[in-house]
Amino acid sequence: MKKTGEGYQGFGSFMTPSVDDMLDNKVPMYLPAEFLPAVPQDAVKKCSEFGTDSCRQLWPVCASTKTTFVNHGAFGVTPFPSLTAFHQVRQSVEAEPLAFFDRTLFYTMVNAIKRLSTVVNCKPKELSLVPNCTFGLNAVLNSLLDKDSTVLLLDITYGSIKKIALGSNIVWAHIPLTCANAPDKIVDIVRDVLQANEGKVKLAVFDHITSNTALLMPVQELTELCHSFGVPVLVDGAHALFATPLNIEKINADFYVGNCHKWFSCPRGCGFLWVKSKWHNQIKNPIKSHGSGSGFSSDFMWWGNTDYTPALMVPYMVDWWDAVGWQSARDYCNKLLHNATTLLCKSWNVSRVVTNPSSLCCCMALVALPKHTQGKKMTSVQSKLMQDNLFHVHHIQVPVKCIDDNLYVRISCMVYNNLEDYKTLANAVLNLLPELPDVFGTHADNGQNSSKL
Amino acid sequence: AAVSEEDGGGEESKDVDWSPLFCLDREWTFINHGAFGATLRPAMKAVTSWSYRMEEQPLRFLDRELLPLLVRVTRRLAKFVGADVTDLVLMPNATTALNTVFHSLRVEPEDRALRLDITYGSVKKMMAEHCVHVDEVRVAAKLPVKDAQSILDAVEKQLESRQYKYAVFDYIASNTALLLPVADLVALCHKHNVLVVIDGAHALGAVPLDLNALGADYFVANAHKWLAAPKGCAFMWVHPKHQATVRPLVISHGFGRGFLSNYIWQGLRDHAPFLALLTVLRFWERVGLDRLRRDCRDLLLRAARMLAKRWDTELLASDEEI
Repeated sequence: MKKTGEGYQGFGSFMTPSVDDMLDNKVPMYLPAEFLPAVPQDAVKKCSEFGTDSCRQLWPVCASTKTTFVNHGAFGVTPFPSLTAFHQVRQSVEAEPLAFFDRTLFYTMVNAIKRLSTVVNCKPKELSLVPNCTFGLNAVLNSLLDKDSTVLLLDITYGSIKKIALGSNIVWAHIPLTCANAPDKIVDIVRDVLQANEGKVKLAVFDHITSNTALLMPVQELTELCHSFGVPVLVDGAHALFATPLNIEKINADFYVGNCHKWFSCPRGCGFLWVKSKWHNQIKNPIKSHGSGSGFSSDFMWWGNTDYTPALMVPYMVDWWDAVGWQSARDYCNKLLHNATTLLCKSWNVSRVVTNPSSLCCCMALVALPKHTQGKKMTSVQSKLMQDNLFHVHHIQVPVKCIDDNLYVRISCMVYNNLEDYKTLANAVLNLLPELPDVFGTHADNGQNSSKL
Repeated sequence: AAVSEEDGGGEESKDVDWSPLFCLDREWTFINHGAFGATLRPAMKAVTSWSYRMEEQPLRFLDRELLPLLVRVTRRLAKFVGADVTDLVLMPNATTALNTVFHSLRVEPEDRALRLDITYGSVKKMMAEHCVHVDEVRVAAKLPVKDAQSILDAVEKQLESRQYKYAVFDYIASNTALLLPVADLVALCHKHNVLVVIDGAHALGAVPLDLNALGADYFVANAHKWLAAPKGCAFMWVHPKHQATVRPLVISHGFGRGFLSNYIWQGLRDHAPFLALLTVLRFWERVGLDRLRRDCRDLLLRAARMLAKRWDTELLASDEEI
């Protein structure tokens, strides 16, 4: 029984110490035993048998043998053991909500931040967990830009960034798909835009791995370039965590945002925002609450009363990939990507978009659809039609993109995928060839140049 | 008398043990539902169910099923609170909703805002950042607080002394647990050309709501408190005349296509708490909220009087009505 008290140490009326003290290791961390279930070792073992049925059984998208899922990049997937743990943690919170929010939450959030900071190589006090990447992007852009600011964007950047930046002036760097094989060209293009707009650009935003074109951008070089022009950099690493060996300090940008639910496969509802210390006074949480005014970590730590379980699952997934092996899992995915793109290109008689996907792509890549009508321009009408047919008729989940008037599938390769998945895709597209003249055009050879598998 | 989950009630609710219907660990004496709520067990099951459905077919679910489902949830919730579906949007929590409201309320440097001394702590912070001149009406300076009329009188006096752009009132204040006379406050403010923001964080479930009748300018509420919904579910109601100026703090794909569209997608998150609201509303409708509210209030007054007598103290308010 305590007979004297020291009053509230942290913000609001939470009973835990200040989160800065926790992050600085000035107070002992209290993490309730068994609050977060342990990663089951037998599941880890099965997962490590990449692409086999043993592994596939762990992933909900493989639960039905009727569907073929090659779109992990869209919304991520979390494995069954994680889903079980996720709901267990929720139950624990709801069994004692006061004990949890008042006395446990911030210990678990700080622990999650510390674990993640080790994985992505950054200082814990520069890292915060946010509901998702979109939130982080909005926080940075809201804080820095106004209607008179100019922001530099790539035209291949993610769609919603264009919307967030609408209130400001945008200068575009046009990146044609032909740059896919020459990252130096991307740097050159951006240099030209910076020179043409010298002194005007307040912030540059680059996708670490683009969504529509599935390309790994040379973010370290682009950051160096922008800094030489005095332009700060925000890197949108929505896809990066797991897909690439992320090293935030090495990239040396000013801001970095990411998602935990995509390749990292954490349950949805958590992303991260990294802000270099020198910007901490300027970057504010657009959602103000108890933690506001108490520094960067406090400001972003409390999202208001909501479900924090996705964030609490971050250490679980770090343990998961630590046990499975980050690099061996990545190697499998990228090797499969190489083999899958080879197979598809051969089957559809198309050339590679990226000649060496293993170095310029991470876990996902574009493959051109076969086309027999030269010069016909494709639009999103055809890409949606194609995607709908693949889904409804062939039960395949793969996005079809329209880029520079041509159609591509963007295949994802994750630890549960194997080459059979892409054979199914190859054949499905060939089956649709004669059925969709709007997409493929009419052709005399009836697909003789393409090989069914 | 324990209740099974199938059993929506039927007995006098005060003779019945409701605890199996909540996830709370009953080893604790839990008399702080108002803090962070407590989730209904059937709602938790619904969350888990939606979660598994989503995970097995994330593309099918998110691309093709989610948005119509969210509209359905919005429609049900709107009906429950006496609002038009086009005036309501789902939010993660009242905090997010309030921040959105303040962000949208344009204030000039000379504008003034009004609140009470009993306004929620983080709202005081939000207002301090939002508006240079924030005045406070002190209703709890001298305890006990007399009654609703004394609060109205104090506010009216302040409104007559200077012009305010907007006023913020907690429907049910947090620290003092007072039920404010919001309908009268709205009328009073509108009489003086003052916009009204109602922070109904505690209101949803605790009191019957009719937002169209109330006619405030902005209204926010949490579903995880007295509605016992899973955390991560709340709403923001905006009077149609202000909708064009309310800008989301988290912009994403839906931006620029209308009020609902602006808010329905805030980046990928776990939507299961929103979807579980269908289960929650269905549950309370079967149980019968009016009778339940009466019984809770009976218990509240009995408990409060008993404690005051045992401790030889008094309630914060002299009038049990507030």
